[in-house]
Parts: sequence; structure tokens; C-alpha cells
Amino acid sequence: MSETLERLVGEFAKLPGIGRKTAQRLALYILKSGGDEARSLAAALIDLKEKARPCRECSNITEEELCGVCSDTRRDTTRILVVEEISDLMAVEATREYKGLYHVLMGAISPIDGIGPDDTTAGKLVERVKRGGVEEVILATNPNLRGEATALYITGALKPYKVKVTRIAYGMPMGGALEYADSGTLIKSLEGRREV
Amino acid sequence: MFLKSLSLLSIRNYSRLDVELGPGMNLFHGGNAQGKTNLLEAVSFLASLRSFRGVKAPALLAWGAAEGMVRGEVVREQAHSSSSRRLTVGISKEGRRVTLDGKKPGSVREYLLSLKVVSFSPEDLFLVREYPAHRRRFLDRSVFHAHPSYIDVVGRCAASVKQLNAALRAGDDKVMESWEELLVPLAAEVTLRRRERVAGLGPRAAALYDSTLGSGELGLTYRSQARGEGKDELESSYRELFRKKRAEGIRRGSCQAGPQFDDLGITLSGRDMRLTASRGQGRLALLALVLADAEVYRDEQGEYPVLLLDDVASELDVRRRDALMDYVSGMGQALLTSTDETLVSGRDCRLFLVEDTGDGAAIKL
Repeated sequence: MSETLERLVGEFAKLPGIGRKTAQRLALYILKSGGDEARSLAAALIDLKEKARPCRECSNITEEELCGVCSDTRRDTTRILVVEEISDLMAVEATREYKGLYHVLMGAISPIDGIGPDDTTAGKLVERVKRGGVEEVILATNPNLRGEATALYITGALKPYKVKVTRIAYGMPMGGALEYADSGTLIKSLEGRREV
Repeated sequence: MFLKSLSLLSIRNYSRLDVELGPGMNLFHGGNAQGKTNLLEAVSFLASLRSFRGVKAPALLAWGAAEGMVRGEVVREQAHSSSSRRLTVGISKEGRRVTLDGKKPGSVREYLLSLKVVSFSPEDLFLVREYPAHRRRFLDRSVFHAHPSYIDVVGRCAASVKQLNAALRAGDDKVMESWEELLVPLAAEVTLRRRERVAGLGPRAAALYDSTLGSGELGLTYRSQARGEGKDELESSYRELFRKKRAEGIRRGSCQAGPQFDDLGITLSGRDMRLTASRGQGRLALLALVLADAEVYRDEQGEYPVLLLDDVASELDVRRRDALMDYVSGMGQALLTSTDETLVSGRDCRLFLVEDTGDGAAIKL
């Protein structure tokens, strides 16, 4: 393989979810395409790194000081939904049902991997609550061990402040079938049952 | 439930074996080092995906073989019908691959639930004499068949203990607290389930020991740092324990509370068997424990598990041997090994002569 092609394949292959084969296919596609396409891809990559940055408040991605959500005056500023990653924020935002603000932790606490609270934006969340005006913090970290531990950590850290802390519910996925649900989900659904 | 057929391919000293088993007693007899125990090990592996010799899957492969396989057809008799499933474990240098009726099972749990064996092997004597971890695993396996989701609780508990250990070494109090709090309900559930199991096994094992196997009062107790009746009380007990032992945990770099410190206590006439049991007593206590597990399984599932008894007769006197064989013949399927075929003389039992003539073991009817 030529050196320049090999270099691009190597770069693509570093990306998450991209194996050697796919990397090769992407590189060959770029090779075949016109020069404009390659230039615009390169520019998009560089712009992302140079212009995009974390929102001062919630760590969502933005080109400004504040992200689109934080700067939107129609949002309900008394609620903060806490998520681990920007992709989680994007998933909730896609529902168009949540009107409050977000806080992206940029990770979850995992001592085994050497990730402590200071490697997340948990401290910034406490600062936001401390400043006042927040009535409810909704913990939407993932329902796995790290996510649960992180939720517990934040609950503890917010205890001194007058703010309602809630945790998203566990249960069956909508449109799902009982017979295909894993037993952990089924058990949580049973525990969380409600009178109708 | 019983194993209707068993096939081995490149396992230990078997290059190939296909054998039909009876629903009652089956005796594999023959001289020493012919491959009798290897057969039971293969069945135990098929059921639990662990070797009772404590080795990893590739160790079961025949010398020089790159791949091997254990397959069994399990028949379960329900009240009005019977069903059969084909369990297969493919073994290679990389590990194992399981299938149920030729398809990848939805989960390992589904696979593990489809065949229950209880096994006695002289190599299991450490269950009585030595490591608490073996006793906890014995209990965990026993609980699992009654509460399949328990396997996840045990897994989450172990993972949280590791995280807590790392947190104790990292030194952030608040992070330690979070992982302790996460551990509390998991630890309480593990302790509660194991303790319930011991309460179920205890009277059964005691009756077996006193009437059939030995004489004396066999006692099983579950020992835990945590105190309390129900789940709530155990949870507050663990919460307090984690808090009290945190300083020591930081000093040692690992948490000093939790169900990983629990143990199954086995006493004979009030005396701790770990310290005072003779070999013979240890053997009988282990047998009582294993048979009690089978009885409890039958109470819960309505059928006996498959019983594996490796070299069970040696070191037993004639009276106990006969009493044991009487008892076993009243249970479901049993696979036994012995150098002595008179072990089952006069009983309804299928006999298999196991012989290794130098180019691999074979079975003669």
C-alpha cells in the first residue's frame, strides 16, 4: 500500500467503531472522490477541534460561550438533567419533550479506571446549584454500576443545598415484549410497579 | 432430569465417545487411571462450565488437540410430558462456546439452568476442610437454580467490591461512600439468599448424616459480619460495617466488610469441622451437603438433579456403603465411578467398563 494511503487508513482505524477494513474503504472512497470533498472533510475536522468547545455552564458542545440550550431563554432554568455524555443529551433533546437545562458530566466515576469526580464536571454542577435558582436536579446517568455510583455521589454532594434530587425510573422499554426483556429489567419493572 | 446420552470429542483421554445412559444408576468401573473421573468431569463441565478439578476449559482438551467438544442430551420429565434439550460445549485454546439445541442461547444463564448436577468428588474435600471461597461458591450455585437473577447480583456485588477497593486506594471519602452505598443492597441480598439456602440445606444434611451416612449431629450455619433478620436490617448492618471498617480498608487498600467475608460453618456435634474433622468425617459431611443440595433442588423444581459420585465408596465401611447405595437408588439419575463393580451388585444399575488400551479410553458395556 502507498504510504499516504496507509497513513489515512491508520488514522481512520483509530476512530471508535471503525475496523481496518472499513478504514480502508473510507480511505479509498476519499481517494476516488473529488478534491472538494476531501478539503471540506478536512476543514470540518479542524473546525470542530478549533471552534467547538464545551459550554461554560453545562459542558454541552458549542461554538459560543453558552450552548444552544443554555442560551435559549424559553428553557426552564429551574431544572437540570444530568447525563454522562453529550450523546445522552442529544438522545433526550431529540424527544423535544424536555424543556429544562442539562449538565454533561463527561464521564462516570470509576475508581478502577482511575476516574474520580474531578475527572468529570460534577464539581461544576454543584457550583451551578449553589448559585441558586435550581429547584430540581434529575439524575439520568446510565443504569449500570458506574452510573449508579455517580448518581449516588452527586446526591451526596448536593445534600447541603435546598434542591430536589430525582433519579430517572427503571423499567420496560416501550414497544418491547416481556418475553424478550432481560431479567434484571423485568425485576426492576416489577419492583417499580404502580397502582392503576 | 437425566442425561440420556453423552458424547465427547478430544476430551482428556477420550478421542471419541458416544454413550447412552440409563435414567437411574450408572456405574463406570475399571482400573485406576483409565478415564472414569474424566467422564464425570466432562459432565460437570457441561452443566456448570467449570471443571471440578478447578482448571480452565482448554485443560480439558486431549493432549495435542486444538478443539474438543462435550455434548449431552438432557431429558426432563414434567407431570404430563417430557422434553429434551441438547447441550453442547465446544472447547478450543481460546476458551469455550456453548449452544442449546444447536443455537447460541439467549444468555449463559439460560444454558446453565437447563442442566443441574450435584457432584461429589474426593477432590472437593477442601469444601469442608479449607477455603471459604469454595463454600461460598457451592452456596451461590445452589441459590442460582432457585433464583436465576441471583447470578447477576453476585456479579454486580463482586464488581462493586473491586471498585470500592480502588476507591479506598484513591482516597476520596465521598467516592468511597458512593460505592459503599451502592454495595449495601447487593451485599444484603447475597447474604440473605445464602443464609436462606443454608437454612434449607441444614436440616436435610443433618438428617442424612445422622441416619444414613455417619452418626452425630451435623450442623450448618451461615456466618456473616452482618446482623439482622430481613433485608432492611441487613442493609443497615452493612451500611454501618462499611463505615466502621473504612479506616482499616484504606490502610489495607481493600474493603474489610461484605459478603466476600461470609462463610458456611460446618460443625459436627458442635465442633468446627475445619479444625477437628477426620478425613472420613469430612467425606461424609461433604456427601451429606451434596445430597441435601439435590433434595432441596427436588423440593423446588419437582425433579432430582443428575448426581455425580466420583469414587464415593472408597474409605466407607460396608454398612455405610450399602446405606448410601440404598439412598442413591431412590434418587434420580446417578453417575458413579468405582474400581469395584460389586458396589452395585444386586441393584438395578447400568454398568460400563472403562479401559484405556493406550490409544485413548473406550467403554465396554
